[in-house]
Amino acid sequence: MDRLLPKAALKDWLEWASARYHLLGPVESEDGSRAFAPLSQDRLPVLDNRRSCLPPKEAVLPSCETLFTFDPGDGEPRLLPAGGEFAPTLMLGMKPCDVRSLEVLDRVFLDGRFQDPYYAARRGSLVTVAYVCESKRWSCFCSSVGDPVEWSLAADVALTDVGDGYLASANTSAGEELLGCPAFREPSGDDLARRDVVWNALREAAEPFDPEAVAAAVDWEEPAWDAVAEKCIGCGVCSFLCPTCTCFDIQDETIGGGRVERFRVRDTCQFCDFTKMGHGHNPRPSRRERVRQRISHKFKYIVRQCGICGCVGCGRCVELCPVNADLRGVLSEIVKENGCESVSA
Amino acid sequence: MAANPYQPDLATVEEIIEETPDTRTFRAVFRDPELRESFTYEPGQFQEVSVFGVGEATFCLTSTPTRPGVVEFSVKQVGQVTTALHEMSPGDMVGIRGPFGNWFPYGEWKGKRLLFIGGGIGMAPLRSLLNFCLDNRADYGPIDLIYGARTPQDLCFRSEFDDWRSAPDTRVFLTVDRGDESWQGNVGFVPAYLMDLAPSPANTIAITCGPPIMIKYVLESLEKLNFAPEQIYTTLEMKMKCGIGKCGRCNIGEKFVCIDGPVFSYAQLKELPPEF
Repeated sequence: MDRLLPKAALKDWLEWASARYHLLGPVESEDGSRAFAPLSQDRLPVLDNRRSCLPPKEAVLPSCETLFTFDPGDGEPRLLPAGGEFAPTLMLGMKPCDVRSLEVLDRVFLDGRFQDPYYAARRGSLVTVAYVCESKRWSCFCSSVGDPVEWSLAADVALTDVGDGYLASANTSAGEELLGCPAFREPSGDDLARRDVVWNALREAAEPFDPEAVAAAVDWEEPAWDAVAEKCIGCGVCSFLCPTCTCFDIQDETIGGGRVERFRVRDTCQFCDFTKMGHGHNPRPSRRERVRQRISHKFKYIVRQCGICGCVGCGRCVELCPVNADLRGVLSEIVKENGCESVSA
Repeated sequence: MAANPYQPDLATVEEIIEETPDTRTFRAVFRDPELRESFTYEPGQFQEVSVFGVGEATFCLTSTPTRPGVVEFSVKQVGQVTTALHEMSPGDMVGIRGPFGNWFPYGEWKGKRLLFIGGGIGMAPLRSLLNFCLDNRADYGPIDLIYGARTPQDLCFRSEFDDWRSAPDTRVFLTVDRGDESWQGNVGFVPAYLMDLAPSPANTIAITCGPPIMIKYVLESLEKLNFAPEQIYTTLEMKMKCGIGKCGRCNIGEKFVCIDGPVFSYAQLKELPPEF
């Protein structure tokens, strides 16, 4: 289902939607940094090609989250559950890579033998609205790892800027409901044609990527591991900003009255004690093994485990690495070393 | 197990057995009488044990499901959670999540000879399977145990050696790196003792667990004795937090030790990158 939202009517639509949903969208703070934050009549989402600094995973996998509270009681100890129900939330202005990253997180947390109840509760409350980029930033490489238009169509609604308005394509029943707002009107043939121009441009830029081919190219021993490990300072910013990095630690904190909060907190395979065991043995003792783990996981292990490439090409790690360890160059090197031509990054 | 896999069940430590100067075996019962009845598991599986306020750590179940009502785990004091456990007394409370992971494919081993090769605290998961097989003695052929530790005082489960020796068609071979005046058994490393004893691979399954360096040389020794990789099983240890394949910590290549393991055949291990 396609409708057109005149740009001036964005505010009306959000007001209409706010009766049904808690609204989140990309907003800019005074220092110019951008993140997903609650929206209001005075705070509208910024819809353009620039991605948020922090990825949207915070909404479904908070950097710190209580799992339960242990209460010693009066001789009758018990565990008080955390989590539970979450208000329906509409996340607006997700870039195609952001939408895709939720698909990756879904595979990790919802599929497999165990479902993660905390993620499932948050994710189940989320309705997504994509904003299809018209062009890429210098650090973006989404089209090297997939089809960003197709990714956008996995959101409940995908918005495309067609000049005076946003062409809204509903992909689910929740999305169709959202387009029931009176602020929308029937799109003209020109509107649809302009949308197709944007989509085709994005698609034309796409360089086909075969996750299996790269998975096959990534070897246990790669000269690239040494090259990256030499530069890497192990700060972990690549994982903290990565929209698909999911590693976490579980810790306890005593909060008074003998009560203990058990929480999970974001962690990264790039930290030296991530795999260090109590008796001192560490299977990944140096940066070389830790760099290998992260890149192999993104492009090889997760493909075999979950059937999806773990990288969405958002470029956050490229842009914000303090030592400019550009993942695209690393991948090109690996593919070249192995005589595989299916990827250009 | 609770519907929320992150939420432990409360249990009371009933008894603490001092195995060695640094290792104790905890016998715990769930506080919920229904769970005490219904809780079951398989030899080789593990659980996450909580000391509330200190944290959680991973321990294999060393008891056997054939002796229900009590869960046992053996703890070597090395870090914070293990130290907190060692400071506990009977009557104290722990949280238990699990059971997690795969288990020894004992159903495929009926009628075969079993060769257990353990080192130090690595005897803990083997003990679960050994007692399980002894409780189903008619299902298996002759059972041999080769078990070693640094010194005679470092051998765990000493109170059960006589039970094991007196079980039908079951032999126990003990070895220590350094003996003392009263030591009557073999002196030497486990892999060397294994080569001396030279068990036949015919219709035999070998199951080994111990320090990584011991496992490495035991695997090599078994191959020299013409055991095929498919006849050899081990159980691996990696740092874990969630136990359910989410926290991203215990993978070896594409396999998570917590859900694809901890039990692997040597044939399966050969397919994995040499990370362990």
